[in-house]
Amino acid sequence: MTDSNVSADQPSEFVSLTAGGQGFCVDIHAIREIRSWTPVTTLPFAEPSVLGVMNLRGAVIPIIDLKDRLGLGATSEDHRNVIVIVNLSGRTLGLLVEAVSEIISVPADGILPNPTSATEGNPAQIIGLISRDNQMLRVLDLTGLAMAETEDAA
Amino acid sequence: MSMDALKATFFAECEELVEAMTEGLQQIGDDDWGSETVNAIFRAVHSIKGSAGAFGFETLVAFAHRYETVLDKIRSNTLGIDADVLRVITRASDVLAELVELAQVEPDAKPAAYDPVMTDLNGYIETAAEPEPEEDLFAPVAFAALPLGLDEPEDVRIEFAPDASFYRNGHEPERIFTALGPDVSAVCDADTVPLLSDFNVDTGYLVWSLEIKGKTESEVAEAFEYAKGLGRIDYLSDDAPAPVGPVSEIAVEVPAPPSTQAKPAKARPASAQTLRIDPERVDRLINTVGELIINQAVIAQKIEGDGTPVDPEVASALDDYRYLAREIQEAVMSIRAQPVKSLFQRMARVVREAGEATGKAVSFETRGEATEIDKTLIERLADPLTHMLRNAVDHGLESPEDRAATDKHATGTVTLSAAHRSGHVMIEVSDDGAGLDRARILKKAIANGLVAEDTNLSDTEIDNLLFAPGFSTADQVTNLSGRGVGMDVVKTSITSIGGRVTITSEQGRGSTFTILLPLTLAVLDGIVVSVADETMVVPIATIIETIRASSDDVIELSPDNWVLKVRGAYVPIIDLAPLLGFRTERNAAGPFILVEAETGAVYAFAVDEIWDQRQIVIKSLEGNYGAIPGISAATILGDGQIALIVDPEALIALAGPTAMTSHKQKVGA
Amino acid sequence: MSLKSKLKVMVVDDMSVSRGLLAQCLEEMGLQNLEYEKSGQDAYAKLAESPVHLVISDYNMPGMSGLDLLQHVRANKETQKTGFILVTGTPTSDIVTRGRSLGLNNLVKKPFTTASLKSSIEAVVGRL
Repeated sequence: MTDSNVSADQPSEFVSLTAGGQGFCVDIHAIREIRSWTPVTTLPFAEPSVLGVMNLRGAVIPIIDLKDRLGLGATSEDHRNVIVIVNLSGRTLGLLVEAVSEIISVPADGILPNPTSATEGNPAQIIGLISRDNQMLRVLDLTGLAMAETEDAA
Repeated sequence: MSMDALKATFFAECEELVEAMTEGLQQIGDDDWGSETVNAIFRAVHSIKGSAGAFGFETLVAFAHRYETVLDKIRSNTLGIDADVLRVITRASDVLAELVELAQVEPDAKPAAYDPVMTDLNGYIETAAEPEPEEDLFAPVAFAALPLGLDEPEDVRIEFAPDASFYRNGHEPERIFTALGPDVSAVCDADTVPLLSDFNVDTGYLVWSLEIKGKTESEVAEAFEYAKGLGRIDYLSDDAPAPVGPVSEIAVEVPAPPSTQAKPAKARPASAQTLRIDPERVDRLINTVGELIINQAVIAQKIEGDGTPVDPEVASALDDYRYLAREIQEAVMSIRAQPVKSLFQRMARVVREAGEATGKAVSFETRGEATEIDKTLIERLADPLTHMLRNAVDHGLESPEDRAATDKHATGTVTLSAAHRSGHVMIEVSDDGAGLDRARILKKAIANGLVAEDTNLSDTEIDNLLFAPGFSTADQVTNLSGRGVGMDVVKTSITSIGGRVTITSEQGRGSTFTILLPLTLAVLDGIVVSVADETMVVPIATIIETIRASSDDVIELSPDNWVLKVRGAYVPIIDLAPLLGFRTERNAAGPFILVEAETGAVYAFAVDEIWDQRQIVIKSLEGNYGAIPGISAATILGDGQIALIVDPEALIALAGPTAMTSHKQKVGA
Repeated sequence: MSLKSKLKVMVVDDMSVSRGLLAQCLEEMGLQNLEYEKSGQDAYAKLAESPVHLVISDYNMPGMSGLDLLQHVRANKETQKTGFILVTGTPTSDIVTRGRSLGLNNLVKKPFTTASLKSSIEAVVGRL
């Protein structure tokens, strides 16, 4: 999904968000809705970044702390935290983030490849960088995130 | 309909046809048949062939064609049915059924029995001398079309008797008549109009006879399009007698009150028809009904929750709501219910093949074929049952020589039965073989390191070793049961649909495997409990009782080994909160829920609070997350919060074989 | 108004797949007045009530075969002028002989294509 959008000539649309104080952005097509935080039901044997599950209109949705998943430590409790509901290859997940800021439109050549992609230990989820208003936004590959999720669960 | 949708319909229809075919063969096998039986089989095979051709399933068509040819010979009495013929046509129906299944995935594939059965079938077709063209056993016969000469303008005569509804809808006969052009004569039969005293304004009385020149019937029909369903329109053919009786001329302008003579649209008798529904629609309905049940619980909780007295009328309306919601749920569930018959018929094939592969004579008996269960369950039972039946033939039944030595009939019997039992479905696979060889099972289990050498196990515990992962009883791996697929896989698949499997076995008399399943996958009865800060649900099916014990009854044998004294017996305690990683401190005070494992062993689950028993709607976790050890699914409670449903068997397994060892090592990372 | 939009056709087949396949072809030809019946008995009852121009019927049906239906259609004054095309996978000489004697208008062999079905229909009713 992300690949084709990045390589297309048309500008891609992203939603920018903040996790662990850093700027990220996510392909707008993956995002279903944004919700305020509600208490979750804890799942046994889940890795720490999986906060639990919540009820989204009758469906059971796992909620993942994005900051924790990216290795930046657990998000501290704050009433301003929001949950970004994303749809990834048929699975619906919620991502806990600190804030969602705006929708940005970026031309294909505005996305720089992640220079660290060759180095070991690189968080595979970051597939590109967008420079914007003196801020560096990391483009997240959510498919990779969903895959990691599957492995954990299985 | 798209081609894909048609194909899906084709396979669904094939299922019914295969069922009809199998049923016919069974009747022949039972020697309870007539010419219509063979006709029915022939028709089924022919229908499969006919539609398969449209989808280009050549292999299937070729085989069905050959099979059909032999059936046609039987049908026309040129071939009699003896044991050999019965065997061949039975095998042919198996191959055909398999070809249909294969066509869904690999249209060109041939089942192993394809060639030998084809050869057998050819043996009955006396074409040894003449080379036989594949497609045309019956030479195509030229047929000269007979043209209709349709729609030549002619004179059309009709009788038109509008109902009251025609006038009520604002139609006027005159408009229709003028629309037919200038060459129309309309005669109204006013004799049917009653005297004013008997006149009913809501009845249509008038009948018009019309003669339209130079029009085709379809042109006339078009003009009367608006009147369709609002009265009687009869086309009178030329040689039909002209309307008789006194006819009085009435001007077309006469306002026309309507006629009782107009016969109401003939209601055709409703035949018992089946409605084919896209399963997704039913699933959506089931999900929505699930939401309704939850919504009902939410409302009930909001109204009754705070303990203040409820207005009796509201309480009674609430009860009605609860009742109606359950009614709807049951009705919706019954849409998906299907008799197990088709499944059992498929299993007959499995047993036949297993008998042939092992060289054992097997008689297959079924009981309770009409038992209805959820279609999803039927589909998910096919694999485990196949495996169990193969096992029953392969390992359960003795060899014919051994049977002879024990005065048993050389033909072994394998029985498959289904029945409803107290809100569950019970399916049994039994054989009249030698029974489980417990000494050998134990030896094998020790050899495989499944149990320690000095372990003292009860018969039931030994029997249950069959379900242990990596256990295989056959000393040599047979071609049939295969390697690596053991009864543990059967158990896993049964557990995954909320069922349990148990074994009973009697030395020399045979074994019975019993599967107990919930009626549906979508709801279950459970007890709502608190574990640490979490609300969870324990399925009622495994629960024996709930106990609030005094601290004297909880005995610590070692730090990781606590037991509960229940009426003189000691039951191992499984403390759920630490087991699930919610808390490290032990809960030695209970309350406790006594559950019975499949092995028959009893365990006490320690929880923090026991709330109430209720019916809950099961929500899968696997779609968006994945499997969680010890947890089977989730549900949504009245307050909108999610509660996890525990899987008692899995919790017992998590806690260790005897719940005595430290669970933390078992859980792992 | 073209024949295509006027021609009333009844498809008779006990198998919904076959009905679907016929429907697909007939709709592709642009025929609009289509009716479907699942058995010879139902078809006959319906025809007696509201006749059509052309019946396209399967041969192989339980109860009343396509040719049995044809016999009934020809025996009834109201319906005897109806065009009748029989669809069968195996046109045996028995079927053909009986079909001819009953006044069958045409015969279509399965599997058929839209083109082959269309030419069979046109042979009976004229150009569509």
